[in-house]
Parts: sequence; structure tokens; C-alpha cells
Amino acid sequence: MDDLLLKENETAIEETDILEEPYYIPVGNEARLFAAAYKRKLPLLLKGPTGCGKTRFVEAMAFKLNKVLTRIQADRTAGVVRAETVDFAKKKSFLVTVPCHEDLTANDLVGRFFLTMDQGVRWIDGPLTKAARYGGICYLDEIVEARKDVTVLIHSLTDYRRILPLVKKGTTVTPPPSFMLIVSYNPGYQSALKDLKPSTKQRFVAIDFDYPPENVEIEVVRHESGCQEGLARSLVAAGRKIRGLKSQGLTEGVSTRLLVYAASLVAEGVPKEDAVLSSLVSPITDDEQMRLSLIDVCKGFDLM
Amino acid sequence: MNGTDAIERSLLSFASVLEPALGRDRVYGIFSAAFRASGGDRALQEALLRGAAPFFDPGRAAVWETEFSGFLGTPACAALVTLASREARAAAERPLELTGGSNAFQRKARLVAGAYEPAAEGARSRFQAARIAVLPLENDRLPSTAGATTSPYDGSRIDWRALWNSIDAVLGGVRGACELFDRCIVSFCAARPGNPSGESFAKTMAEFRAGLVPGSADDLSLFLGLALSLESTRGLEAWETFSMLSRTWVKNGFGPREASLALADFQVDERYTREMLKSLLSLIETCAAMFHPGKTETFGRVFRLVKGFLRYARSADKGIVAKIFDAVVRHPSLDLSAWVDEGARVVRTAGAGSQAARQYFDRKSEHGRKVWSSLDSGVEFEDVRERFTYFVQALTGKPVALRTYRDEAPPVVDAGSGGGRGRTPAGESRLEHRFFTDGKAIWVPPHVNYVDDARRNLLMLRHGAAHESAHIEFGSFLQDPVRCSATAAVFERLFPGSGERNRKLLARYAKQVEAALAALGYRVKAAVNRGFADFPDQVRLGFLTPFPTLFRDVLNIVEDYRVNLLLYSKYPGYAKEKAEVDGIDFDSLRVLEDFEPETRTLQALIERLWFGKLKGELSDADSDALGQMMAPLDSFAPAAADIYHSAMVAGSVLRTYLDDLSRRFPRAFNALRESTDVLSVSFSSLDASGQGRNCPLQFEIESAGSGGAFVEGGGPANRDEAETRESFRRACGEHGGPEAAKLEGLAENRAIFRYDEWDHAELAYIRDKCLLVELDSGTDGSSADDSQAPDDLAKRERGRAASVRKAFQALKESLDLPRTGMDDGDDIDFDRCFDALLDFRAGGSMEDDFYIQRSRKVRDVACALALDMSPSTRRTIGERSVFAHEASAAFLLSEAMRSLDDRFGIYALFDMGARANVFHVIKDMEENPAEASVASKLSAFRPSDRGFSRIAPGLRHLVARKLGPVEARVKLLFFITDGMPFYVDRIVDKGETSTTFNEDGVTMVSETPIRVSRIEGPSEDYAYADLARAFEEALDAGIRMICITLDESTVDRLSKIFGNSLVYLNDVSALPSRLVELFRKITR
Repeated sequence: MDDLLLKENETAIEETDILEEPYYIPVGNEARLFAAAYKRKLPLLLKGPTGCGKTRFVEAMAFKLNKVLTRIQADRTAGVVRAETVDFAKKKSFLVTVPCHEDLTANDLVGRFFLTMDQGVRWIDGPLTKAARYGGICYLDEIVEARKDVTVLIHSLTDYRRILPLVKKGTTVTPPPSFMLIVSYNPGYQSALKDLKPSTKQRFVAIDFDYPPENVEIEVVRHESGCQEGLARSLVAAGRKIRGLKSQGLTEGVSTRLLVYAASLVAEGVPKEDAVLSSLVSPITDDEQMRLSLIDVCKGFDLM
Repeated sequence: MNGTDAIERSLLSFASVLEPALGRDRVYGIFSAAFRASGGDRALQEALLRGAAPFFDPGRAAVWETEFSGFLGTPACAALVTLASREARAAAERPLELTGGSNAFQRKARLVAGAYEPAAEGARSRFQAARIAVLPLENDRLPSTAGATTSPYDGSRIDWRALWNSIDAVLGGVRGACELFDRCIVSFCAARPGNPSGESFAKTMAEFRAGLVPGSADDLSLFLGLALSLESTRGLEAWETFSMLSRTWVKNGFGPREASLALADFQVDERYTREMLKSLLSLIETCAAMFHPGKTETFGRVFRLVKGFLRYARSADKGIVAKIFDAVVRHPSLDLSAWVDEGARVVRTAGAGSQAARQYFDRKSEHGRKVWSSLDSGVEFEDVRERFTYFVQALTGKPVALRTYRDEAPPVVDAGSGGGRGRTPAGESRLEHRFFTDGKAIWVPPHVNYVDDARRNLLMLRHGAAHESAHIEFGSFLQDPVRCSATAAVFERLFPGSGERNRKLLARYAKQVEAALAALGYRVKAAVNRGFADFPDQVRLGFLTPFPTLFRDVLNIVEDYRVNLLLYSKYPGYAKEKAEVDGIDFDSLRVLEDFEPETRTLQALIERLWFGKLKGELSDADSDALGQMMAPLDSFAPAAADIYHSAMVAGSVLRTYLDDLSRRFPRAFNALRESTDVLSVSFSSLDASGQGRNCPLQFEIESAGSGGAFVEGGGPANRDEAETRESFRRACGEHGGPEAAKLEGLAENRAIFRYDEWDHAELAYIRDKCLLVELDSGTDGSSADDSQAPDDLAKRERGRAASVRKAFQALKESLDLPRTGMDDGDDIDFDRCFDALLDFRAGGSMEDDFYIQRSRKVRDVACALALDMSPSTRRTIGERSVFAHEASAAFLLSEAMRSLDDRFGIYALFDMGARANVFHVIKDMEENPAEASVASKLSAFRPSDRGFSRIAPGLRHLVARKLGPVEARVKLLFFITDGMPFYVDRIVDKGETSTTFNEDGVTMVSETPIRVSRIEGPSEDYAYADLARAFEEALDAGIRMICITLDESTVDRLSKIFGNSLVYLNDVSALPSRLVELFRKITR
């Protein structure tokens, strides 16, 4: 069946070997919490606005554990099938990231039976089962977006039982100690009708994320983009002022990610004004008055 | 022939001329308005009744009943009723049948109809005679026999002035006008956001009155005469204008004098086409609705511009008129006549509907922009308000409001010499042109025109706003008791004895203020800042110096300096722009030599600290003195400094300055000492709110009449039905007035519900505190104003409704998409079936969730909408009242919900105290939406004339009786309010008259003593706590309540209650679209 799914000269694009430690500066106790939770096999819930470094944090921590990491991006059936092409047993350490969306069902995570040409019916693990079976880290991004049965599915994995039932197969998987389940969500733009149930929330150790403190953020922007420190400083200062307008007129502030974009554009030789306009102003508002006032603010930091 | 007969005759003639064009309803409306304005003259009213009878519509019996109830049993009423039923009786010889009105009225009506048949006959024949008499009028030939002694017809033409005079007499002449005016003042008070009271207001009112009689009547008659003399169609419109104006005055408190002056200015001549006239009339209405008496000037400007435009353009494009109107409002300080004249020329050449004309007035065409920019290169704050509001909020990180002095004067006006900012072009420092902040809001000039360059003017505005933001960002309003004590210790050494002296002065002054307030009829409820201890630190420190006002000025200089240093080091971009801005400011300064010798060093200090240089030369002695004053600043490290450092430095600077002053200018120093600088305030600056403009003393006052909080006895309430009813009736009686009486009548056969109320002080419910009656808007449309043709909501919102239906139809169709993974269904999903078979073959269990359901998903949403219909919603914003916007929103939402087949209900709430809550059903949950005429009911619906905003009982009723019993997965309750909850428990008729009274939270003053009642109610905290409790109850019942408020001042408190279920809209016209959008988002 491998022939069917993957040609000789193809590799699954979802699989990336990370050889260098991902850049992450801890801003609080999150690294300690992660380490302790990992040791005690406790699941993690990461809360925070978009672009503040949640995914990066998970990768950095996962890498730290074994100094090597394979990143696997999984998605629905394709993810299930492609996950099959990865030889998980041989991976020393891997991280399966599943971006959740409203069509993602429990079966997509657990796995299902497939009819193959030569072997007849065969069970194929889903990404969560893979992680549980071979002891990887499974990261369910934006968990609230998934269907309700997904949140129920992880209940048995996240309490003292720590088992994953494969209902269709009639078996359960007991993960090795190196397995960890991490979920994330952004409380900012969840509607009241789309929230995690307390029974789900209370199964996790929660870490609150926010944009990093000013000096850390400057360092992050500088490091990620390779720009001058002065520019990083101005960008961060402007970004932080703009964040003050959240709920005052903006739904979401400027993320660290966008600041890095702006700095990267400048480092690539794009004029400062253009870079700032395309990464700090245009992506976050369509309102003309708001746009002008953001430009006014950026002017103060000599960015325009 | 007696007087009233004459009136009746002329009325009949006149009415029959009008009827073919206006329709019976409108004619009736005119009579009805006249009746109301007739000032209680019974004979006159009877004449009116008889005159109006032919136009009476039996469907309106309920309204007639209340309006003319005093006349039941009189021949006039009989005539009325009989004539009204004439068609019905002609059709079938059956007894009188009335479709509307209560049983009691129908009974009475039948009786009187039977008893006074002959009188009715007489009225009818008179009507017919009149009709015949005026028939030839339509052919411009009037039989001279019709012209009796009092007739306004004179041979071949109508003497319109005579006719007007007779109408004027009908309206009760001056008496009616006065009454109208009184009511308009009352409405004016109700509509004003502030609290206009006190002597000055009474004086203004007296002036209005004096001006009103008889000038306005003359002007109006002149206008009407002119208008009517054109031709009958235009005459009719003039009539419409008159009735419309009188209504709008009453509604909006627009002084009749302004209107009449404006009308007199507008001389109708034959050059005006019908369209033009119409356009002007709608403009009058808009103007009247927009402006309060204080804005007469703007009204006049709009009127003159539009008049000029109509003359030259020979066209009356409504869109363009609206744009001119908008331009005047937004740019009050610009002379727009050149722009409008040029626009009129464009319209004349290109045509009114042309793109060129539209683009010109939108300032989108090259031409339009050019002409506009030639008017002025200044920045109008209104144009950039939104942008700069975001700007200061970003800089400060706080919800700081931006204001101009036109919006509202700042709490304490810094009239002294501040920094070098905010100067008028002439160089003099005027309040309106200053930037200022009190730590919560920032005041900016309404129009910045310092230089002849738009870009630089904008820069000046931004720079000023950034500086004031910096005061907030860098802690100019910091309050730190420890730091304050330390600073105070230094001050006591610097200025021994000053604090003691000032304290005494303040105490004495506080007493004087209280006495002055008492003389104005106020009682001091609580002193917000009664004295020294209540002041903010910065003021308190000032009172430790001998000259607090002078100290404040010096502190401003030093603090500006500190804040600027911080601002420019944090925002290097603004530092770069500073040179440009300073250049403009610096140029506008006077040279130092022009200042008085004794203040020269202070001015030099300002310039040194703000600009870093001096304009002009200082003498050696002055230079030395300046050097000494600057000395304390050497140790100033702004990064580590705070406001207390500034205060300490300012103290030292002041000490040095005073020492220098006493040495070199002993005379000036003595003069300063003589002026009790402590309170550079005179009583004349004490405004009606009890706060001296420049005075740090602040009092919370109340009119001497109103009492404290009222708490009901607390014993077990009587649950007996009859007694409940009696209690309700009593509550209505307490409130008095026709509205309450009507309510009492309507509630007669209706169930009365009892609701508990939460007492936050006792932490317990007060059992059965509130009584509520449910009314059906269809039959009990109590507030429908019959003198006005219903504003057809469905027609007005046709466009938006269509797009809403389309959008929600699409949403509904998406529900119809087949859903997979069902246990049962219409089709088999082969993918899933395959999976299931695989599971089965692999030895697993076979699941049967492989069906596809093609039938539609059940949305299972139930939604109720509660509208605030308290009197405050009569307030007009834009062209329409708040309630009209609410109604539009309700209509669109109902269209959305109907498209989705969701169950929904629309309700409106108000109350006349705790024991008389009114719950209007516009569309009930269970009513079939296809049959419910939501649009027409909403169109006919008007907010209440009287009453308050006790919200919670209505919400509880919704939860308990409406949404609660509905089975639905998602239950939503939208509640729209335009202000804070206002609770009134009891209305006590004091049996006396007074000139102050209270309605819906606003204290009002009337010139003539009117019969007033004292209202008693719990505190605002109580109201909010009760509302919070009602919200929790709804949540417990599984109902999600979303509160939409239109009042910014309530946001803080309401958001504590509703959290993210609170939506604040600053633009009421966005309400309909936002509501629909919200609904879609939440139920998606």
C-alpha cells in the first residue's frame, strides 16, 4: 500500500526533522512547568493570543527532551495515511501537530480500517494513536474548533487512566511514559457558544501565554529577523502601543509574529515605512480611521 | 350665529378643501392637534368636535375615547359617533357597530348615539352644506353667497389671512401657543443630556416666552399666507409643515421663535417648484429635530445656504441638501457659501442627479476638493475625531475620550498661563483653542487653523493630543499618599502658615457656596470635594502655598517640561516633529518685552522649558532671577521623576519667584497678596450643577423637593388578585396624567403579574415588589400617535430587509445541505458505509452511522427582543428617534428570524414605577410569524410619553413567561437600552405646584408652576444590582441575554454585569445592521 500512497522519490512533506534547537526564550515558569508535567505525565493546556509563541514553545520543549525532534503535521484522513508512511518506531522523539477544525472527528485522530489491495482490511492508526503508541508528543492546536467527540475522546487519556481506547478495534493503547498530550486555545475570540467544557478544561495543567515582556520580545524580533536592535526596539514599542487598542477598536493586537515579519522585511531591504504598513497596519485593520491612527502611532516611534 | 358656530363653519369649509388632497386621516389629525392645543376652552372644543366629526374613523374609537372622553354624552360626541358609523349603517340597516375601543366605550357610544340622533343629523347636514358651498372653489369660482360676515371667502378668492386668523383662534391663539411652548420646554429638558436648571435657564425661558407672544404667530401666519397663496397643493404642504412643526417642536424642544424667524426669512415665491418646497420642508423638519435652542445659529446657517442653493440650482435634490446640512454641522466654523454657490452652478449645468454634482458635494471630484480646500486649510476636529480617539487610546492604553469645548466644558478650566501650546493665530490664548486633560478625557480645539497648511495643522493637532496623552501615560494624575506627605513636609517648610490659612478660607467658602445653592433651590446631598481632604494631591499641595492658582500654573510649566522630556525620549518620531510644531507656536508668541515686568520671568521660564529659547531679550536682573528659578531644575532627572518631583521643583520655583517679586516688585507682590488667590472664583461662575468652574469644591446636589431613598414596608405582600389589581390601579393613580389613566383602563381586563426584586443592601429578594401588566400592541397601541400617518417601516427598510432575507435564506439553505454520519436518513454515505463494512470485516462492531440526512437540520433557536420604550427613546438622533432605530432593528431581526423559521418574540418595556410596569407584546413567541404584522405594528408604535426605565421586571417576565417555557436548544434574549436603569418606587402627589420636577432621571424646571409629584426611588446601585440579578436568573434558566446599550456612560457599569454579553453602539443608526449581524454570529 505504500506504493499507492507515496512514490519512490517523494517524502511526506508533513515530516520534518528538526536538528537545531528551536529558538525560544522562557519568560516565566513555563519551561519548568512543562518539564515537570512531562515527567509526571500530565497533559498541558496552552492558552494565549495568536502569534505569541505557543507552537514554538512546544517545539522547543520537545526538542530539549531528546535533543532531536521530528515534526509531523497531520490532518484528517490524509494525515492518517501519511502518518503511516513515517516509521514512528524508529523516531527517537517526535511531535505530531494536528490543527483542529470543525470537520475533524474522533476517528480522524484515532484511526480507521482501510481496505488495501494486497492485505485486505487493515487498521491504520491516526495521529493521536501513533503518538500514544510510540511515545511522541501530540499537539492539538485550537482544540475548541474540533467536533465535540474529539474532546470526549481525550478524556480517558488525560486522567489517571491514561489510555486511548480504539473502540472500533476493541482495544486500548497504553502510551509509554514519553507520550504527552498538549492542546491549545485562544480564549480571545471564542464565542460563548464555543468554549471548552469545564470537565475538559479541568483535565489539563494550564499555562497562560501572552506576548513576551518588552526586552524579551525585542530579543525575539532581533533574533528571528536578524534586524538591528534599534529597529526591533521601535517595532516592539509600537506593537505594544497598538495592542492597547485591543477591544478599543481592534479585535486582536499585533502579534510577535507580525513584528518579526516587519523586521524581516526591513532586513531584506524593504523600506521601513512599507514594511511597517504591510505587517503592522494592514493585516490587523480594514478601517480607514484606525489605519490612520496606527500610522500616527508608528510615526512616534520613527517607523513611518 | 355665535362665535363657535363661525369657527365650526370655517373649519368645515376649510377641511373639505383639504380633504381631497390630504385624506381624511390627515384632516382629522389637524383637528386633533387643534383640539389638544385648545387650552381647555370647552366651547371651542365642542366646536372642534363637531367640525372634526365627518373625518372621524370608527377604527380609531379608542383614541377618541381618551382624547374626548370628557365629552361623552354631549351632543357633539353623539354627532361624532353617529357620523362615524354612517357608512356602516348605510350598507346594512343594522345598529351601530364600533370596531375599536373598550367595551365600556362602545356601550356608552351606543347610548349616546341613540339619544342624540337629531343632533347628528344636524351636523351632517351642516357638513354637507359646507361641502356644497365650497364645491365651486375647485373651479376658482366661489359663489358670493358663501361669504357671510365671518367667512374668509371674499368673492373670487379666499382671504387666507382671515382664514388663518380663524384657525389661529381655533388653536387658542396665544394661549395655545404658550401651552405648546411650555410643553416644548419640558421636552427640551427631557431630551437634554445634562441637567439644565437654575436661574439662568429660567431666565432664558422667560425671554423665549416674551419673544414668542405674539411674534411667532405673526411670522407663522405670514408664512402660511404666502405659502397658501401660491396654489392649493402648495398650500396644503404648508399646512403639513405647520402641523409637522408643532409636533417636532414639542418632541425636540425647538423654540417656535427660531423656527418662525427662519421661516420668515424664507420667502416663498413662485420660483419655488413643488419639489423645492418639499425639500425645504423636510429640511425644516430635520433642523427642528436636530437642534436645541442653543443651536439657532447653525439652523440659520443651514437654512440660508440651502435657500441660496435652491434659488440658483433650481432643483431640490434631497441628497445634496442633506450633504450641505452635514457639512455645516461638521464644519461649524467655516463659511461654506462659496462652496455651496459653486455647487449650485454645477447642479445647474450638469443636473441634480448627475454624477458630477454628487461627486462635487462628496468632495470626491477634483473640482469639489479644490473649492473646498480653498475655503480653509485648517483641520476640523470632527473629521478626524475617530482617528485621534484611537490614537490617544493607543498611546495611553486607556479608554480616554477626546472632546472639544463644544462637546462639553472640562471640569476645571485651566485659565491660567499653561504651556506654550494651543494658541490662536492671533497669539492670544483662548480657552477653546487649548489642549487640556483631566486624566480621563482630553480636550482639543474643534478647529485647528494655526497656519495656512493642512498638513502642518494636522501635525499640530496630533502633537497636542500626544502631549496630553503623555500626561496620562507618564503619571501626571498619580495619587500616592506617601509621596504626597513627603512633598507636603517640604512645602510646609517652604511656605510656613499658608496651609492653615487656606484651610480656614476654604471652609468659609464652602459654607458660602452651600448658601448660594440653597438660594437657587438646591440642597447639598453630599460634598464630593467639600474641603481640603477631598482634593486630589496636586490641588492639595497647591493649598499649602500662599497662592494655589499661581502654584498650579508653575506646576503646569514644570510638569509639561517633565512630560515632554519623557515623551520625546520614548517617541523619537515625535521629537523630530517637535521643531516644526514649536516653530509655529514660537512665531505666535509675543516678545518678552511686551509682558508686564513682574510676570516676565515666569513667561521666560515657560519659553525656556517649552521651547528651549527665549523670544526677546531679558534684562540682567531678569536673567539672574530666571537663573535662580531654573536652579531647582538642575537636579531634575525626568526618567526617575514623577509628578511629586515636579511639585517639589514647582514649589522651589514659586518660592524663588515670590522672593524675587517681593524684592524687586513689592507693589505687585502686595497686590497679589491682597487678592485672596485661594479662590479666584466668583459666584457668577457657579453653574447650575453646583460646581464653580475654577473651584475645586464640588457638591452633589439635588433639588430641595426630592426625598431620599424609599424602601417599601417589607411585610408579606398581599397575594390576593383583587388587591394586586387595586395596587396597580393606585400606582397609576399616583402617577397621574392621561397616560397613566389610559394604562389603568387598558389593564382592566388583563392579568397582572407579580415579580420579586433584588435588594442589594439586604442581599435578599423583596417579594412581589413589582407589578407588571402585559398589553397587546395591536389593540392597546396606547402610544400610537394618530395625528401622524404611520411611518411605513416596511417600505423604509425595504432595501435592507431584502438583503437580510437573502443572507439568511442562504444560511437556511446551508442548513439544508445533507448531513452525514447520521444513524438514519434518506441516503447512504458510501464512504462511511465502506468504513463500517471494513470495521465489520475486521471483526469489529458494525456502526450504522452511515446515513445522509437530506431533511433540514433543526436550528432550534428561540429569540426574544426587548426594546426600551421609555420616554428617553423619543430623543432624536439623526433624522429619527432612538425608538425608530430600535424599531428598524426589530423589524430586520424579525425578517432574519422569519427567514430561518426561528421562533421569536418582540416586546417593548417601560414603567410608571415599581407597581406599574408595562410589557407590550409586539409579536409573541407563539404567534405565527407569517400572520404577525410586525412591520405595521412597529410602525404604529411610539415610545411612551411618561414613565421610567425599570428594566428588570420586564426581563423577568420574559424569562418566566416567554422564553422560559419555550423548548429550544439556544435561547437568546436581546435587550436594547438607551440609558441607565432608572427606578422609581412611588410617585407622591404633594397636592401642590412647583417649577421643578423629574422625568426619567432628569430634573426639569418649568416657568409656570405645574402640578408636580415627588418621586421616590432607590439608588442607582440598587438598580444595577437588581439588573445584574435578573441577568443571572436568565442564565440559570438557560437563556443567554445580550444587552445592547446606546449610552456610553453606562458602559462601565453594564459591562460589569453583562461582561462580554454587552454591546455598546455609539452610532444608533448602526443598530439594525449590528443587531442582525450579532444574531447571526451567535446562533451560527
